[in-house]
Amino acid sequence: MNKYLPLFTAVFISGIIFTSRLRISFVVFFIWGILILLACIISGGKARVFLCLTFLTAFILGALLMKISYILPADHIARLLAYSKQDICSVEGYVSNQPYIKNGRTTFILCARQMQQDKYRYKCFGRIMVTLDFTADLNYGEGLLLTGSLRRLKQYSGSRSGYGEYLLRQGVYLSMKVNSSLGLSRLKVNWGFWLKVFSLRLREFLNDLIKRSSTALSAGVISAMVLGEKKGLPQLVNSVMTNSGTVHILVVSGFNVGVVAFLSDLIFKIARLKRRKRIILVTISILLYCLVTGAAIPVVRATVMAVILLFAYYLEREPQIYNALSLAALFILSLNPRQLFDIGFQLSFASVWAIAWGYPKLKSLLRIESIKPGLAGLLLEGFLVSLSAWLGTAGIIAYNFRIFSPISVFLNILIVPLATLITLAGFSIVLAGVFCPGAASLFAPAADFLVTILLKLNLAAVKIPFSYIYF
Amino acid sequence: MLSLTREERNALIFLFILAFSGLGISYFAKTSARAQKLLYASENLARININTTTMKELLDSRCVSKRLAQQILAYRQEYGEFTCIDDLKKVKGIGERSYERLKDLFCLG
Repeated sequence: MNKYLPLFTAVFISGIIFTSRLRISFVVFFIWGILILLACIISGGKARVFLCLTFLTAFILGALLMKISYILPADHIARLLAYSKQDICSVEGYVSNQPYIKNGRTTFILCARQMQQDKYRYKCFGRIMVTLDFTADLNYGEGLLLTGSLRRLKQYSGSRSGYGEYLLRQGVYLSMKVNSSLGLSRLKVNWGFWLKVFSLRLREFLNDLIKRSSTALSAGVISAMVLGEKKGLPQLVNSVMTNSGTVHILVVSGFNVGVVAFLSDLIFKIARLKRRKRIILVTISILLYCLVTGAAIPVVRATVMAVILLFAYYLEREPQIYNALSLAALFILSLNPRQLFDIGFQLSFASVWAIAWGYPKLKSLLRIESIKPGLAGLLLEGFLVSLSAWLGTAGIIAYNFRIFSPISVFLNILIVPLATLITLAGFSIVLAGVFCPGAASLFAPAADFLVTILLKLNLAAVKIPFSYIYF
Repeated sequence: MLSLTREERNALIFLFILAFSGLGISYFAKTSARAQKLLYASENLARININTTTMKELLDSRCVSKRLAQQILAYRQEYGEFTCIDDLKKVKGIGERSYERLKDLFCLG
């Protein structure tokens, strides 16, 4: 029974892939689904037949979810645009993410509520990627009325793995360009979700804390590792780490969620709360952390897995890693099946699966069943974990980024423990900053020093001949 | 009395180590300029030296296009070393917007 959920997820995923490749009508799949469901009900008594039919249902469910994700409702802004002859129009809506200012431009996603074209006004919904050709100090949730050219996103989406494709997968079908400040009017209302407003403010506050205690370069790296805030991260650091195959440490993921769970549990324990209450509060803390970091796929995956593990502890049952991983995949894909084609999704799940499955296999393959404790054992263990993750993700990285980094297997043995220390130091700065602001400066110098080592190691590694190969 | 698990005790020890090493690093950085350079990453560490950079380094940084990299190297060959980052504006193909994007990517060494 332990393998049922991973198998169910695999079949569900194959349904999504099948529909993305073939053009079969939604109705055909729906009728098939109903027939299989009926067969399921009839064959309730026969265990094997029932099991096979549930897998078939999973396949159809995946296919149907993928199909329905392509169908836009009649009042979606992308459908209303189809009737227009000119692309200049006015859209009323609110800022749905934290605006990004760079090179004199402001970029953000607008959640549309109403659009006006010529003399006609329509109530609508849908998300638009807006580029203001000037800088504007906007905040999440702010109501705006924009006038500019509205176009379909496909016009600028070039590559398979480009930003345009990423936006399409997120349900952003249109882009809007506003050339002058005359095209922007603020409506002085906030339509944002209060919890997101709170989490974004918290993220800004914590980011300021890190900036105040560390040097600019270190603060950029620490903020990326602890809060998922990459605005302060220099471009070169990102590309050097991509080349050395260590860029994964800049992604907020399972380890961070684990640290948050551990720290919040410790705080609630000091507050003398009972076990069950602590588990509930720790769950709330990791959900809040997920929102603070921007709810990117790796952190959502880790949060769902952590919630499942905590739920298992609550019920005093043994948690299963494959089941937790499968449930996390089902959760994310049920919300948006197109996330399956997102590189972040693939890398996040592939690396966790490769470590969970590949590490024990590698150990038995190399006949190192019981690694001796000590430094050598620790290094060997680190090497095998790094090798499993590398084997699990190398294909995806090579296919999407056209880069092969053999150095990463060896470099990760040093970088991963270092990144662990930096993340822990980063959390210490944040916690100290919240509870006792003066104490943050106690931890910051050590964190800065660790970041210096991390950067110097990466820069040295990419200078080694054939450390990475572009093809 | 509050009882802490082994992991929680380790977390507290980690915090103490972090604080003590932070104080030690601060002391060395404040008393010696050389130690400061060694212990803290300067912003130039995350920048490309525009006067020594190569075509490969520019392209692998994935921050400039091939054409722009050629223009930067051609400028250096023709006019010699860059004396200030503002010289980037004189490179063909770099306008005010590109300059804003590139000025934080380069340093003079």
